[in-house]
Amino acid sequence: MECFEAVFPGLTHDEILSATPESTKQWDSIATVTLAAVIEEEFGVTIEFDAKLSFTEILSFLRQHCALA
Amino acid sequence: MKLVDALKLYHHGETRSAEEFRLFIACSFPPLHLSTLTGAYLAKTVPDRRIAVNHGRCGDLIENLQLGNDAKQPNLFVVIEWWDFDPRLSIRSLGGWNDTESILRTVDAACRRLRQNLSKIQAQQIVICLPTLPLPPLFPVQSELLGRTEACLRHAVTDLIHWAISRDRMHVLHPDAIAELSPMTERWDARMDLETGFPYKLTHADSLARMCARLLTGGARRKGIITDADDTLWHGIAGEVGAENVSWSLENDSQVHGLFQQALAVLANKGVLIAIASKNDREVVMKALQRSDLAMEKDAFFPIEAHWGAKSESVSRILRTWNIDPTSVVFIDDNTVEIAEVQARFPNLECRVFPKGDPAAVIELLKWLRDEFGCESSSDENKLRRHSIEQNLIFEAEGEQADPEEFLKTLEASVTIRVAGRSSSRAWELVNKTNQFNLNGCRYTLEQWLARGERESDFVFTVAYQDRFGPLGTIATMAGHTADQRIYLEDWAISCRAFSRRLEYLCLAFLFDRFGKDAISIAFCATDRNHVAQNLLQLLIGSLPRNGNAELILTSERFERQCPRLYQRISYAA
Repeated sequence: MECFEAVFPGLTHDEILSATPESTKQWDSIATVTLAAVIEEEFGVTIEFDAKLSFTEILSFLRQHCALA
Repeated sequence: MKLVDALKLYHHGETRSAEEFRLFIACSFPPLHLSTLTGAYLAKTVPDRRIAVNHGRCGDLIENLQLGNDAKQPNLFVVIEWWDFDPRLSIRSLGGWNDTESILRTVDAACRRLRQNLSKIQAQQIVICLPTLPLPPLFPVQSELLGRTEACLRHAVTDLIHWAISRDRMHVLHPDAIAELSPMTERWDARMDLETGFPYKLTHADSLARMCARLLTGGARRKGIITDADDTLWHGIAGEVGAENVSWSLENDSQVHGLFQQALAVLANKGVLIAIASKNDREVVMKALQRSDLAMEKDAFFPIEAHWGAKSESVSRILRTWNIDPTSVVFIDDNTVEIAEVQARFPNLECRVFPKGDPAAVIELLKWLRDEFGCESSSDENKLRRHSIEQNLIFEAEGEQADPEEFLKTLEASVTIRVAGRSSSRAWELVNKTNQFNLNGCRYTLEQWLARGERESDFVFTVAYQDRFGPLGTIATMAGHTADQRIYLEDWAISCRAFSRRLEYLCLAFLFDRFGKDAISIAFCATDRNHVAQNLLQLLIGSLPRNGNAELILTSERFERQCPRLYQRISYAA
């Protein structure tokens, strides 16, 4: 959540929960790269920079790859 | 700084409602996280400004430089990488690595083009970062061996550095400082480079961003160092082993003290004030300072407080003599109890332990001192500071015993008033550093200061002073503009070294005389520290507002009634 808040400071909590690259106006290619870099740094995982994953998909990816509760 | 924190900080910085601090990043790759991190560091170091970091959109460094210049960007961060000299030096290009002679020719031509274009940049500050990434493995030699082609490439960069550092406004990031923060193996993110075009690992981008922000917002340097003597300036207790047996040499295993002396000597030469606070018999300290092998001039120390009273007493007297704020001073002592005693009395004074038994820590301390006090150039005024403080003590002592009017009459004072313009760094420095006689405490970035000069009727004057006690250098500045029948005095600062000489009256008399106007509108604001300016204005104008900005009006008629007799000989330099 903190990563999304940092990359998309204009989104509300609920908007982040349902955020997808298609539904979020601010989610351009730069935001994708920034989001990937922030998540990589925070969780020590590797994310494809061209992967267009929604918030829930990223959450599920992190649950699989690291000890995220 | 972590990227997630940088994003928040930068976002906060770019949404402030304040005057903008604009930076343009010119590079040939998308600056992505470098831009965010630089914005975040700027947001941290200039908390009273809205931060705007922009960059060019195309993949060509020269074109982006021109874009930044066309947009009249005041601050430029030029980030150059190997492929800006020849695209074949990028892993994103497949131009072939065989023809090294052709690469060298292209690099030469690119260096020339870069110089030409950098010369045309109008920005007030240009921070240049020369290639920080390793070269791709294009040379058919073992990596341990420096081959001819690579040596030629590095030579071309060195030439570019030499050229850039001799230009005003250009600051080159120091390769060693980058290396300290960012080891070579932790700089390049090849995956990121290939996939997004951004070549840096986050930690490397963080280092460059931090250094750039620091160079752009360098701010005021400190002014004075108070050092202990025994086991700090030298090894040993002079009162016990004798002044002739304290040491600061390799032979005596006390080299770090010699290095400390050398570092102080360099800073003293740049105008930093150095004083001694020692619990000792004065004669013992003076005897040690007389030694010919001392690594600095003994005259560089002023004042020398050597007695058995508390260190905080010594520090207090030194600060009074220097007449500077504790925040501008560092106190260094090997004894943590003394440090604690001084710190308790002066919470705003930076106190550092001299780590006598740890050479690496001493080197770190010297580096820290260099960062806090060092500057590339030093104005004549800085060098005069120490001498004029000493002269001022004699001035005050003589003044106390004489009739004030008679004393001023016999000073043989002469004043030179110069039309300085906004490009005078001394004028800017005086306004930004002076506290006690400062109209309103306003501080300006170079960009803000220069922008004021665009008004047609803008003026900046500096005042240099000397009397029979010696020169004080340029000790006052007045800046503002004129309109209709008024002079608008927006900034006025007089160094505390020049008080009690009626220079404040001379400044106002000069303004009335020079512009022939009926009144001066004075942009006043009471601060916690500008009591000397407040006293004068109260005398001339009457009661002053305690809070907020105010426009005070001083008419020529009123001034003439109040102005005492002035004895200075004035010369005027256009």
